[in-house]
Amino acid sequence: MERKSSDNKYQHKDFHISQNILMGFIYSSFGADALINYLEQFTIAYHKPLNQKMKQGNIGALLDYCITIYKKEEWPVKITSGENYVEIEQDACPGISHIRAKGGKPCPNYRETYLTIYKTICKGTPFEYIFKYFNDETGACKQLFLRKEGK
Amino acid sequence: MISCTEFIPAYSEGFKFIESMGGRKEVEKFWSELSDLYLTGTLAKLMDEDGLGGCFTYWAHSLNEEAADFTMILDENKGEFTIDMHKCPSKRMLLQLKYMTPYNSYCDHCDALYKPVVERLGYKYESKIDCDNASCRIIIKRT
Repeated sequence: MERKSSDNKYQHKDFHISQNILMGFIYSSFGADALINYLEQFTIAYHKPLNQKMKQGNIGALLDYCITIYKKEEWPVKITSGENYVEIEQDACPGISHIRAKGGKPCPNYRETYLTIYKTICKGTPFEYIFKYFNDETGACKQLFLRKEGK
Repeated sequence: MISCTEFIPAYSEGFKFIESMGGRKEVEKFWSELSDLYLTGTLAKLMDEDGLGGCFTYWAHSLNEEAADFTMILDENKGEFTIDMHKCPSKRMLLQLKYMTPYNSYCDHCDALYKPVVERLGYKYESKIDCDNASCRIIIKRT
């Protein structure tokens, strides 16, 4: 079998399982705060370009990121936006859904993959992240990125 | 959310974080745990059922989903399964993310994950890794 990278689309859903095992290991070995610290470290490193654009008040960069990432994941989501906000509503989380479909269980505090990551992305920017609700069983949630008043 | 398309940088940062907490030994402990938890029901099961054919089935699925650039050969007569990874999708992604520093021994995780599973089933595992060029060769032989 011979394949070029352009022959296939990049979407390996089982990575959700490995990510869950990684977070479970950090949680059980070093505790809940360590899991948050890890997710902060990842966000600061990986989302640096997005954070820098948001620091300039660019809500379009955030909106583009959200649309793109759900599209790559091929996951149904409702995204509404305006000059000062981006709201995301989903009936289930793609990670939790795949982990459960394969017979697994999300690690404790899995919700931090939303809460910590998006709070960290907003750090030092004119935006705040509001986690309206989150269902730990399914990952159904509503999230709001809102421009802080006067910013 | 960490999309499955963002896993590789999250994985690499995970190795760095674990090493900062407990040193290299702790990273190896994680790889061993991941190998047991993830590969027992997948690669090990397939190899148990179909020998080297199980290797082909396992990697045909994962490497196609990862959009890898590879050549994979199953030679039943020779008792050998080979992957020539021309461009590893994971390491390539990390090298492309210029603003991030990958975990210093990122490529070590593949041997740590696969070798114990394969050898436990009585096969020989050999690899040659060119980490800087995101390429490697893995050979699994019937003994």
